[in-house]
Amino acid sequence: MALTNYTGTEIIGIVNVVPKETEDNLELDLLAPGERQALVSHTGIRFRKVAPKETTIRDLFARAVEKLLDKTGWDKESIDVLVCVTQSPEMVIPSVSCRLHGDLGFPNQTMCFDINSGCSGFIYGLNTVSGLLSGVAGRNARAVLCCGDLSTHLIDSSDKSVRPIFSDGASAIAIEQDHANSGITGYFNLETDGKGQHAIEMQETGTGSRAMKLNGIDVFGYSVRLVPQNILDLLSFSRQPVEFPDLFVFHQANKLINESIRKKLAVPEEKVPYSISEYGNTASASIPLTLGTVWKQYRPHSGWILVSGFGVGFSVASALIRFNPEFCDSPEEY
Amino acid sequence: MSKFLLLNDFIRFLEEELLLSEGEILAESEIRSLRTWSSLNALILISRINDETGILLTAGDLAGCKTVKELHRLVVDKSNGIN
Repeated sequence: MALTNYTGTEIIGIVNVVPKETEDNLELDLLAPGERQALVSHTGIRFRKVAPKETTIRDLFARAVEKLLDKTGWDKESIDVLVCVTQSPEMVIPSVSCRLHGDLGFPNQTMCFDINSGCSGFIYGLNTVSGLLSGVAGRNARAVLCCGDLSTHLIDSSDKSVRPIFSDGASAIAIEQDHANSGITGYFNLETDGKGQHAIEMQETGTGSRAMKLNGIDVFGYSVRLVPQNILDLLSFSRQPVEFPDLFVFHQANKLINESIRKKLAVPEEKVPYSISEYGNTASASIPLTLGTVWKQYRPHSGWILVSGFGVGFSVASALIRFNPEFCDSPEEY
Repeated sequence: MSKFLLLNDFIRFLEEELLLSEGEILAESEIRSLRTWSSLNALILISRINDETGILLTAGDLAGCKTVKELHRLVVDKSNGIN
């Protein structure tokens, strides 16, 4: 796996939701004053969104889905697939998507399941949903894809290597299959290097609890080694040059990693947007969230964008997609 | 890679990247005892070495080096395809 393509599947709209509370890395007591400025200038992360402990990812997904359905005008009865990509469910059983299905009153014919995926999750979700929709015969099928995490609930808040990085947020994406469109609308390249499973993982903290730990050097190494080649293989598969996509929207890991990837691909700075300064690393929501912050300035040339997510696993996924949504909202505070 | 072939050039590079004064780093200096050493600076250093040479050091590589001289040896060896 997994070089694949799909015909007729398109993103109709994107909605992004973030918690109201913001932390400023320049005021983070955990770091010495000199460290704060160095961290912001090298990682690019100034502000992060932090959800209260009583908030769940389901709360953010529910708000995002309700807004998405309102903006698309889609009736819940018309939704064939509801998928939630998250690694921070409030409980293991049942899935977030099943609870959301019940809470929002989706009909029985809406299938739903969760995908346990982190920073590559948006592309894994988009690929999975595209495959499902393309199999629905006789009518145009619809899906709602939710991506996001409350990563700040997974970390030890005294850990200097993760707290200044991770942020909370959620996205809901409306995807529709148009059988009248026989053209390819998305190329995908999904890969995994399981030897990198320990680069980001939940570990015992020594106090009987578990928290997400990150080995920054290994994450850098896996990202820089795997992502550029994954993208080049995808472009080769789609028979397009690196100049073809209008934008390269990377998972917002940190600026050190993302700039290394950009330079290795020789992509000009103006084609690589960032939302990391305002919103930090929001895991699987970071790509749709970044799209929400730049969409109003987006001037299509080819009409195709390249999206690439990488992280926990170690998982790498990129897609070259036709991008002409009816709306793509900047993040709403909730 | 020629930039780091000589130990003294590598030491100058480290002093610049770690915001240390000239002469503050010696060949036998312990990396983790350097005044500005931190996990962030370690990552910045790995990133800059990759920018300059294309060599990707792992966390394990770095953990195996105690002194600046040992780190330089590793970078040279990797650039020669030895390690």
